Amino acid sequence: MPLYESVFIARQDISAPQVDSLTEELTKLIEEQGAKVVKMEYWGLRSLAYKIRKNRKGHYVLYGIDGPSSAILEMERRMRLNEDVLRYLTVKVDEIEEGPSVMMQRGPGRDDRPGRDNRPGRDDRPRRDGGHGRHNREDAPQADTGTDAVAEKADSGAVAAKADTDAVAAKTDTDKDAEPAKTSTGDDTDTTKTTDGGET
Amino acid sequence: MRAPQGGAKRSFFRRRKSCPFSGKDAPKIDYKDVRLLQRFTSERGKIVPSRITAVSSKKQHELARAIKRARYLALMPYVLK
Repeated sequence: MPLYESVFIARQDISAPQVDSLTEELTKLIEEQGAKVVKMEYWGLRSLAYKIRKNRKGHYVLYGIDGPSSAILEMERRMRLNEDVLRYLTVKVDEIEEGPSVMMQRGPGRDDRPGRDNRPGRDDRPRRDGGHGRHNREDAPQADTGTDAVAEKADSGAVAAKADTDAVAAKTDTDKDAEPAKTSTGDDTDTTKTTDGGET
Repeated sequence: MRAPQGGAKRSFFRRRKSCPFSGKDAPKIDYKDVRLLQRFTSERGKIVPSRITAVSSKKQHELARAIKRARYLALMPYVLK
């Protein structure tokens, strides 16, 4: 007999025990029709991606059914009549996955939106903070976070100052180099050689 | 995506990307796996064309169907503003 996977969404206002009784009712119905419920999963109260009949949340239930199509038709008819069911989707599958589906692995009842919100946080930000922490530990191990920032600033300032002095030194060096070079252009090649030797 | 791309011959060479759903430990396309599907939708919630994601046409069909199922079940939005 063909295998089906069926998900339905129940209204947000009904309680979890009510959802349980609803699923039980449907299971009984399915089994009366000569089909077998291979798998049953309750995903919990998840927030919907968009409003359905003024509901922002819904109870998701997944069925794995092995049975004739007539059972599916009857189940879907019952779902249409039931006002607590916002939506249902039945898909014919080649095989029903063993073990919990992706939804259950992520933890029941968790919304999808927080998952999205977590994403930017999971990217580079924590790593960058960790990087700062490491730097601070090297520079000033006993400092607090507030003073860390100050210390960092001071460090960066010092680095900048160093860089400036280096740059100035470099400039002066180049000037020094340039002057004898200019003079050497006029003179013989031997003088340039001697100046080079003096510098080194 | 097997065909050599037009720009390949002209000075700059673009590496041919392989389909993320073919190969050994490729993820299974499933309408329930929202996190996976979300990677193939734009910020606005549109399905990203395969020429950008390098999904093979067979898998792109499967992927599009899965995304549409997820949308119907309100697991994914039809449009994000």
